[in-house]
Amino acid sequence: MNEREPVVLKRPDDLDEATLVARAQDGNLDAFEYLVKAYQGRLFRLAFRMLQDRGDAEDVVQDTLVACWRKLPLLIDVHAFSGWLYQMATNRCLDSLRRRSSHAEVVQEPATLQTTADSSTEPGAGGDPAREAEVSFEMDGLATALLTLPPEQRACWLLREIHERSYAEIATTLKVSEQTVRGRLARARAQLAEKMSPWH
Amino acid sequence: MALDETIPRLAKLAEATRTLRDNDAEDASLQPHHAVKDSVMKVARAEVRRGSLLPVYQADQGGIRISEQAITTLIWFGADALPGVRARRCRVHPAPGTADGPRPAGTADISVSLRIAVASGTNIPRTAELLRQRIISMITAHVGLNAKAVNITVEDFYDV
Repeated sequence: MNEREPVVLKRPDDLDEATLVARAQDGNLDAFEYLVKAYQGRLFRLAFRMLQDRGDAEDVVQDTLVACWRKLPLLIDVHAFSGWLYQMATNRCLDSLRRRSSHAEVVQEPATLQTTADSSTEPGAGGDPAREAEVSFEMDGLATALLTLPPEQRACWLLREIHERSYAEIATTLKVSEQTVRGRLARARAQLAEKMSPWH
Repeated sequence: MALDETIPRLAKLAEATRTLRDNDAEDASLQPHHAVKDSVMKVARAEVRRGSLLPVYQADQGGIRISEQAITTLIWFGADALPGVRARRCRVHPAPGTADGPRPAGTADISVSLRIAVASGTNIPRTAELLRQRIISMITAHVGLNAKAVNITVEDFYDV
C-alpha cells in the first residue's frame, strides 16, 4: 500500500452512527454535518408538534444542534447520542412554552403548514377519496387535540408515540420516574381519545 | 365512561397516531429551512476543535507544529483502509521525556491512544497489530514523527 496516498476518509454513509459521533466529538466537521442532516427533521417535527409554530420550532432545532456541537466532547457514551439530543430539544421546547405562558394572553396563530393542500395525495389511504378525507380529518383532529394537553404530557406522548423513545429515556429527559411517565402517557391517551371523539 | 366506549376510542386513537407518525415523517414541509443547518455549520466551523499542537521540528530559527486533529485524521484514514476496523476517538500526546529544546526533523516522539470498534468475528489481536504498524508507518511518512506508543482500545463491536 502506498503510504503517501491522499488522505481521504471513508464517507459518513459507510460508517455507523456511534463512529460518526466519536469523530464529531474529535472535531470532524463532515461527521457532524452528517449527524445534523440525520436529526434535523426529527427534532423539527418534535418541536413543531410541541410549539405549533415553525419559527419557534426552527429556533429550538438550531439551539439544540449548536449546543450539541459545543457539548459533544463531554458526552461519555456514543450510543447515548440520540437520547441526549432529544433531551436537549425537549427541554428547549418546554422552556419556550414557559416563556410564552409568562407573556400571558399571547394568542397563538393557527398552524401555518402547507400540508392541507396536498393531503389528498398522501399515501396510506389506498386511493379511496372518501377514506383519504377521513384519514386526513382524523390526523388534523389528533394534532389539534394534542395542543390542549399540558406541555409535559404532550412531550411524553410525542416522545413515546411519535418518536418511539424508551420509557427510561423519557423519564431521564423529564427528570421524573418511569412510573410517572407511564401515568402521564395513560392520561394523555385518555384525553386525546376523548377530545377526538366529537368528530365520530 | 363505560369500558365498551373507551376501547374503540383508544383503538381509533392508536390508528390516528400511526397515521400522524407516518405522514409527518414523510411530509417534506415538516423540515427546518436549510438556513438552520447553514447557521449550525457556520458556528461549528468557527468553533472547530483542533486539539493541542505538537512540535514536529524545532530549530533556533523557529519550529513547526502540527495539530492533534491533523494527526487524528491521518490515523482515521489509516484505520479506514483496514477491513473490520472503525476508528473512533483519538488522543495524541508528545511522548514523555520529549523536551522543548532544538531537535532535528523526524526525531520527535508521540504517543497515540485510539479507540476502535471492530466487526463481529474479527481476529482482534491480529487486526490491532496490523493497525498499530500501519499507524506508525503513516505517521512517519506523512508527518515525520515517531509514534513511540500506539495504545488501541476495542470499545465496541459492529454488525456487518
